[in-house]
Amino acid sequence: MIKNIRSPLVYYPKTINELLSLYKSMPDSLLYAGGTGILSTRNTKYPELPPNILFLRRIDELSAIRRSEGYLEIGACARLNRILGIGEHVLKPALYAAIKNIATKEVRNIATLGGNICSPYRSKTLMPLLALLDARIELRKQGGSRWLNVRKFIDPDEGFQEGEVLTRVRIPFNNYNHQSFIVTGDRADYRSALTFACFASVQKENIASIKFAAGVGNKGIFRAREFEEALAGRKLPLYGITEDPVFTRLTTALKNQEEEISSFHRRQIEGLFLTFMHSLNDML
Amino acid sequence: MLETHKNNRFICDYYSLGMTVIRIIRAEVPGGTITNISLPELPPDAGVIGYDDIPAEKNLSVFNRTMPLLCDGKIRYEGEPILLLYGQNEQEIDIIASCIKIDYETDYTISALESYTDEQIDRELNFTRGKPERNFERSHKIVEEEYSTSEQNHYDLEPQGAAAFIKDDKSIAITAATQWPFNVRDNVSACLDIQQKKVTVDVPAMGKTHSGKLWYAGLLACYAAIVTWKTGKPSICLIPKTDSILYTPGRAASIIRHKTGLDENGKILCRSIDISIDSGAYPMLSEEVINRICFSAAGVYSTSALKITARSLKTNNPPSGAFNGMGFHQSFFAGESHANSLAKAAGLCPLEWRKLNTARKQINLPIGWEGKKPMQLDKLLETVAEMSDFRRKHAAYGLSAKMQNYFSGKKRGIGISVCCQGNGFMGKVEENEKYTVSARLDTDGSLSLFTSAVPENFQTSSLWCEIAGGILEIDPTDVRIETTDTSLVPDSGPSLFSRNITIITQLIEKCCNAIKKSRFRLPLPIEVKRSFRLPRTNGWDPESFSGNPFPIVSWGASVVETETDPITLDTSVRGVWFAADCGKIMNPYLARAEVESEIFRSVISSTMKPPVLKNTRTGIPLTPIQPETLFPIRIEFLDSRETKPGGLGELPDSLIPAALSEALSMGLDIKLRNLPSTSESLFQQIEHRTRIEEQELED
Amino acid sequence: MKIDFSLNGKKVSIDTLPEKRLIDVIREDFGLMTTKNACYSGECGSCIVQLEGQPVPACQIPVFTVRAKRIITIEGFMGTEKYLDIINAFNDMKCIPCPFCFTGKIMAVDSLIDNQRSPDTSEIMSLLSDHSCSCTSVTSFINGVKVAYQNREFRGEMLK
Repeated sequence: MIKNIRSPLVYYPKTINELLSLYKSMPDSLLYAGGTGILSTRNTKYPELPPNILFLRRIDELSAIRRSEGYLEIGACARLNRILGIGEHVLKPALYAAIKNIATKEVRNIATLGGNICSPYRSKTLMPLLALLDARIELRKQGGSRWLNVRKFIDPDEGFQEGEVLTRVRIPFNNYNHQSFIVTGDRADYRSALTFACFASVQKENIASIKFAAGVGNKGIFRAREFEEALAGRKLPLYGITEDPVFTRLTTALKNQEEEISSFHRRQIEGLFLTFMHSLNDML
Repeated sequence: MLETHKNNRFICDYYSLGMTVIRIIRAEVPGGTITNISLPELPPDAGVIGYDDIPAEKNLSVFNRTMPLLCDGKIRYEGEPILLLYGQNEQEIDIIASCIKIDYETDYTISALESYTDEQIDRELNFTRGKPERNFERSHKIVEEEYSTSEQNHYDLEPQGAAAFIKDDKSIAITAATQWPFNVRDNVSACLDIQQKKVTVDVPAMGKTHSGKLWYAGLLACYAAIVTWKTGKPSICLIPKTDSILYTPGRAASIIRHKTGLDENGKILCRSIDISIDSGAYPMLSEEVINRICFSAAGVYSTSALKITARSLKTNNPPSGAFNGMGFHQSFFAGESHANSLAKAAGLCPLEWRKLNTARKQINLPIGWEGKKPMQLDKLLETVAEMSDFRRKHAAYGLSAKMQNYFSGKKRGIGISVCCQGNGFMGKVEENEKYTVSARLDTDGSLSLFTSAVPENFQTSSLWCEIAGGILEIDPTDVRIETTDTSLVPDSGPSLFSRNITIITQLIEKCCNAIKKSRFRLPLPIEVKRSFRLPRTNGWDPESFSGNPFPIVSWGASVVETETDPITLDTSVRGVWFAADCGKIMNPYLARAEVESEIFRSVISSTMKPPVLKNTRTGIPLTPIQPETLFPIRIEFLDSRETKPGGLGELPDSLIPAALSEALSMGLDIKLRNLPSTSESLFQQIEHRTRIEEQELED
Repeated sequence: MKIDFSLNGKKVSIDTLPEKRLIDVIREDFGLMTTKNACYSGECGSCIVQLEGQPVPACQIPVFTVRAKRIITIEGFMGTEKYLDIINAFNDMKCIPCPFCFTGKIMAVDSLIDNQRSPDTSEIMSLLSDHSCSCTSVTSFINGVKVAYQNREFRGEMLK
């Protein structure tokens, strides 16, 4: 006979310290904030959840949003619609568009920033963008905390350590005067969705710096640093970029990722990048 | 009107705590034999039912076809029901379900659509008119193409399901989301071996069915009935969304090959069409599908020499269903797309080519019939062309498409199509059936309508109330459509192919007119019954391809304009223009609303990725995503020479896919030959074109 | 697990499994069947309720998360003037959502027209794209939402 159908025990910590202490004693617990990434992928009537759940939404500090001179600091449990409420002028067009693109308006009323970063299930739409923005995340555990660049967080060796909880995301205000953020693909099929972000700072007809990142589905983030470095300092307008050896570095780097990036997505990334470069030319 | 919604109960609203719930344990492989089933120990209120536990008839019967209610040991498709697991604690039975282990012997060969064998052929029809082979020899140009359409799901919001309740007198009451309550009744009575009068079937509220609830509810009703019969307790079987998408009957996939010979002027000389349609493991409706697909295969173009071979194939896929038109969609997608290639080969604009080749009378259609009503195909085509400014746009977009450059902006294209919709069954499947509607005018002045016909949507029931109210000069709110309980209403047949409009609406009118005549001569209440039987003479004979195929045929034409981002290959529709000649329009507002929502639906399904079986239980799209940008839709109804009402709900699904596919193809200077037209398929065609261009350069 | 919360303005208490979804709790345990559920994945827009005044998909909320929160379902919303703003507009514009998607669309429209400015067509289309039921005419839906906003604005001015 099937016995011991055990429902999870739910804990409602009110402070971060209380949370960290509970998490240390029960490292197998599920950290639950908005939960949309968890529930939407368990589309059975009763979602199967681990025995212990730490519910994070009663910890006010985790939902706080602060704005300082140099950066925006968002609590990991801040709801996406609340973040949008900060306004496009503060978030800047790319981040605003990226958050607005996530799920439906009703889902964004419960989904959180931390969920989008941590969820292993759904498309991590924001990750390429946060990586470009040099966002840093705070990981805390009992007795210590560390700040980590989002880029490093994606690295499996650098990610969560036992007992660590994502508490805050710090997004520096940037001076990129040209930003592009595009999500393309079938919204209903997250595996095929492509996220593309590209930023450039153009000063006196020169590319002072340029950065770009792309992500497919819930796979990793694609960056091409050498390519970015090679473009920095180039004078605009840049004509015939497809013939430029610099562009070859991009196409080669993309081809090297054949397992992760299909030829269809490769074409899209190359095309979006070229469009971005054209728009820089048009700025002049 | 909306206030009444709170009283509507869907099948899922019949569940209440304490009810016995049923889970279907399905095959995890597409073929093979079951070698062992190991069950965990079950709690006292739970149980399982297998093939051998079915009390009497072990097969579901639809028209003259059958399929086993549960797998008889040999698995024929992935997802085939093997066991019914029931219990009162849902969470508990979900855990038990995950503990049931089934072993299979899987030395099977997959029967697929693409490379079929003769054993797979369930039914094949061959039709030849004139001498096509000889005409091919003298053709100026011959165009050969292959088109494919993938399976398609209904994506209904409300679940498929059925509930069973036992009554004191040992009779059983079924509530099933079905378009055909009397078929459910017959199957339940057979599987329990009880008299038909001991089974009553009631139909809950349903959304638009698109013919997806024609026969499958019978299967679920039998499951609920068997469990309730065994336990003596009410039970309910609801299909989870994922299972519904993967395993319930959807639109059949098809491969259609066209070969057409043209003369010097671009007129069709001869055609040869070869059609394979995937009927799944149990071809429940293959006779009707094959008849309809043959009828529509060559479209509305006249030709004196034609050869059609159509076959329905048994495969290791779930059984396919009726789905809006049952074959017309696939036929018209291939036929109208091919028409565009023919126009190109003839060097003509697709509109002019169509006008050159469309038939003027039914008798001139490839499969001619004796109907003498003049057709207005040219007028339909001209109407949509003028509304959309087709000629100018076609020329302009054609030129722009030749300049394929990443950065020259979004690529626009425009496509046109023309089709027909057959209302009612085509074959002989229901020639012996008699369908009845009755109406009663009560002493309080209210009218009750009795029919087992299930309104296809909420607009249909409003329409019936309006018509009845109009004839008897009473307020439509005083007209009630009585419950569809089979013990109270006459058999009005299955509700599909717009039969509600073409048959049931007329019967309601007849009943109301009869009441009107005797209203002030006889005391109230007055009850009147009217029946319809298909004419026995002159009906369609599929063997000789002669007779009248449908009581009434509707005609339609459409233009679709699209825009494609050349980089991301994201597509959007800029506008849809639609014209129809569909007999008497009963309510223009409701007719427009119906067409508009069907156009939206068709645009979505034509560009949406289909779900794939196997290991996709998470991450498959569960709901279709509506377009985020509104596109203008213009709808015109021609003054029809037909005085009876015809259906129109299936026209968009036959028109839009081909027109949309052509518009996308034109914008990117490619040729799409498969449905749905996803961005990946656009990419593949662009790659294909690039390879050809490179090859040509090398040569 | 015992969970207390406010449902349609009344304090309620329920002893149930903590992971049970809110949609099933309101339908099965409280018998409020007008809100429907189709996908359990937050995609279809059928199951929207208001949680602390914000529209949320009830299938994405395990009941343990609503402890001490305020929930309003369509049944609680129906008697309100806000509801009448929408329903009168829909009736006037012959916008007839089917009963399955009715709740979700009404709740979402309420949130949209609560803004200070009239919703434009693209916002309404964006709302519609979050609801996968295509039962109703898009044009009449757009008109219905615009008139609903006017109704609400007019009522607000009358109150002033």
